[in-house]
Amino acid sequence: MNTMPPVERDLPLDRHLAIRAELLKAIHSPPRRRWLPIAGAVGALGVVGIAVAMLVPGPSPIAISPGAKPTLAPAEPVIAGLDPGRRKQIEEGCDRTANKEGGAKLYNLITDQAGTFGLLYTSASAVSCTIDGPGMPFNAGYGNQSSMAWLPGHISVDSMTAAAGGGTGKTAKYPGALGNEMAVGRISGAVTKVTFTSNGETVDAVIANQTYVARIVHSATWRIPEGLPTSVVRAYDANGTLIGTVNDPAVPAKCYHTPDGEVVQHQILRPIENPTACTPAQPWR
Amino acid sequence: MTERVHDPDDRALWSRAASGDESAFGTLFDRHAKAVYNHCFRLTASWAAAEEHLQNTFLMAWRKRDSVVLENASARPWLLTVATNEVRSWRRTLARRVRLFEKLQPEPAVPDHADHVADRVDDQRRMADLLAAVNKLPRNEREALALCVWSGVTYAEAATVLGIAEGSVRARVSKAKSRLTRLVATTQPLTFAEDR
Repeated sequence: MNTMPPVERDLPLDRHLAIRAELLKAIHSPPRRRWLPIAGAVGALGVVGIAVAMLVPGPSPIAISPGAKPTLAPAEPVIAGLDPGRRKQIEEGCDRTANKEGGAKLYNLITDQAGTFGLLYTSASAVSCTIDGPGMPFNAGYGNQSSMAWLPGHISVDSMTAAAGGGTGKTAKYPGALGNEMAVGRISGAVTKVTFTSNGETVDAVIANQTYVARIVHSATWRIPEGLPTSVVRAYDANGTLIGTVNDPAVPAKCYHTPDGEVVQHQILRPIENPTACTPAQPWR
Repeated sequence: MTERVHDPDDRALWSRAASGDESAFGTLFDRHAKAVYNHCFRLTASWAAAEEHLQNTFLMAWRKRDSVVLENASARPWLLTVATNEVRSWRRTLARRVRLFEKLQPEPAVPDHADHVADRVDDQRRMADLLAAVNKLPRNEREALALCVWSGVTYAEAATVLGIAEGSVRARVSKAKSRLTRLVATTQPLTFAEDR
């Protein structure tokens, strides 16, 4: 028998994040007082009653500073106003058409002129899903992420796409379907606004569950132009300060690393200016 | 782009954590969780128990934040010592329960959501065998071995956090190694990590 122990292993990321969240929650909770005698009414009636009530302290609000881990984000993403049955239908439908892993959860859902779009995540992938589109109720594709638990800075672009319009007339494949350019991804708890700029046009993204979906809608006859200029995604905090930029040719690309030294980067790969000077990645949810 | 992310050393982070800065404490956790997790595994031969001790170690660290001043630039040696004490305390509790119930079932292998579940189960078996031998060592030798040989803490760092002379740490590790060599069935050459 060898006297050296087995090789070191990483704490599974989901457990790392769960334990971290529990720790930070615990250190913010006041010591739990199980029983507290409560003095009853005193005064004119001259009655003093003693009651015993169990007190369960509620969760304390936690101020999330830029760079801090958003520890109290709900474990399950919530889409306001979405019927649970419909949610299940979307998750199963998108999963079925795209995801080889299963278990995708809906994090963001938008409906605009181009239709309905859902952004889902599995434990390792982003799933972009067109819902009720031409030809099929769910049409999804997935992209594996270098790290789901960590972000390269305050914002991660997990998918950036452009789709030509469906055309018009009898020969059109999807007549009337609008063209679009889209950027989707994840953000840290410090981000309150995301913009997407392409070819001189800028739109605000829809933010939900620490994700964003930004879509620029074009006409049905729009074609992806040759040499489409680089599209840029920007993230701002509550004070309006720019805290993250992705794909801006004027801003050098940076690299980020997890505490274990794993490099986290955007799906959009640009040369990193100084790969030896990575800064700490931001945790996601 | 206005983003600036600093990378302060542990002493600065600890100082901020002691002032109630949760993000600093979170960063310390991110930085040292893996080392504490593996250290706890080596003391328990159970990945599941290691997770629990990891959490308790950092909770204990938080509770002690006002009374602890880091002597080393790294918090790791101190955290590993806290973890060692946490496991020791758990063992005492476990022993009381064993005496109470007069039996102890071996802990079943806990399925893990991570990849390489089979490898982790195999780790637990190997570590349990090794720990059975290590547990026959005197406690101070056992803990010095785990700290310096298995978890890579230097003799000087261990001396600081254990409050003993560096020479004493060396002596404990040396005795632990030679005793362990005799205890272990040597079907293959013994291997120890390089001294530091």
